[in-house]
Amino acid sequence: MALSATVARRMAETRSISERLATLPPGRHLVPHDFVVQNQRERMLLATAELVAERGYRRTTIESIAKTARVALTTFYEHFESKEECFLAAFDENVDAAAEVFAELVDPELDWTEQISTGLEVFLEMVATETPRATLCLVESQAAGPAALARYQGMLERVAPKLREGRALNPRSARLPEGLEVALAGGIAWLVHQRLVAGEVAEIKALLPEMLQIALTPYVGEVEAGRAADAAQARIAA
Amino acid sequence: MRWRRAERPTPPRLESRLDHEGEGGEQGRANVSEAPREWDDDRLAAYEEAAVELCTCVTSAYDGPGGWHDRVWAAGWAAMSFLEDDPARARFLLVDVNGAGRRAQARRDRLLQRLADMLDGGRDQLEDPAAISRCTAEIAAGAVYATLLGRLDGGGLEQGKALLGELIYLAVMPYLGSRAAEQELLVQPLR
Repeated sequence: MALSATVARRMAETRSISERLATLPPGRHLVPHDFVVQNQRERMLLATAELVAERGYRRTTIESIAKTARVALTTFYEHFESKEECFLAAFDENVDAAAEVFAELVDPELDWTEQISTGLEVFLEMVATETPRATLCLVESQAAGPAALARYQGMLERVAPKLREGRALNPRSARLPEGLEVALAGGIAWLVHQRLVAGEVAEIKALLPEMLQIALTPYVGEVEAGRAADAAQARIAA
Repeated sequence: MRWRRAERPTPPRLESRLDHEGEGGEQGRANVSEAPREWDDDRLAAYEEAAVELCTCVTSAYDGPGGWHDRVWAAGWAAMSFLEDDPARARFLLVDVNGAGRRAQARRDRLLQRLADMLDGGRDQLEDPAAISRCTAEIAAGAVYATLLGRLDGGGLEQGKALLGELIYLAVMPYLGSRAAEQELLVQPLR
């Protein structure tokens, strides 16, 4: 199965409850209470991603989240104390979902270079197929206040250990800056941020070769990084 | 120093917040007292003023004599001097702008795009300048910003020039290669 289809399938599975049952039938029914509660929560998190991507965090209100998720305002408050709490929950859920996809699709037995190449490709596929969720995590998290910004920073730090493994390939790795990995992750995230803000998502996978070149160079040098970038270019062209 | 007047705005009264929150007619108690308020026009103008000051100072250094590598160093030195000179202004420009709404974020992004313009000059160092695009400069600019943000978050930029080697490494690595860039990390901060 092509990577794009696999990513789309896996990302969809992370919200399968909502997709299977977009809204619950009104009135008394036999659906277990826990299921109802979980389903409501997922609908609100999805609604938050869609609304925030469309109009921004500031202009998204609790009323609009409840309305889009088709829950009562009181139900919202049963789950979350504030819009910010709901936003942060959506952020966490999306990052965890993305981490699951990475864990499934990036084989840890591959060479490190291959892992980074596949990981970045999966990342760009996720941005392309789940644009509202990507916008929530990469754009709006930087506009939604200090707690959200801390989450964004935490997300970059979560990526860093995988990049850091590449230090084993550079005999002069002791020289490399301590914060290199977070900086590289931040640079890549900012480029995608720019494309999301500009609405230029259709061609986002074309960024892969240059992203790879810059992400790999500190560890394997520009020649080896260039080979990986060329291979990525060939994959995209195919 | 207009930015300083805008630095600590008088907290808006609750009624005023209710009037402003949830633009688009959907208002309610739910949206009050969450994230800091979106910057108003005055605060955005103050940001713009501080950003123009920074850009003028850095561009002037970058436009000086020498090759691209030397001019990047000069620009980096000028930027860090500017940021060190007034830590509160540095926070205003690089940290506080986050969480201040989309218009503020767009201004911050313009600042970073200006940095990317300078770094993109590094393509002339390559045998084939067309081998990479401006995207590389944008990644490098984002990496520089992430480093500054992390440092500001963890305290401040009082010893900012000590960070210059790391920032220049990120700026030149895509154009000069990893080995050459590593030399930047050996340069003493007071070069």
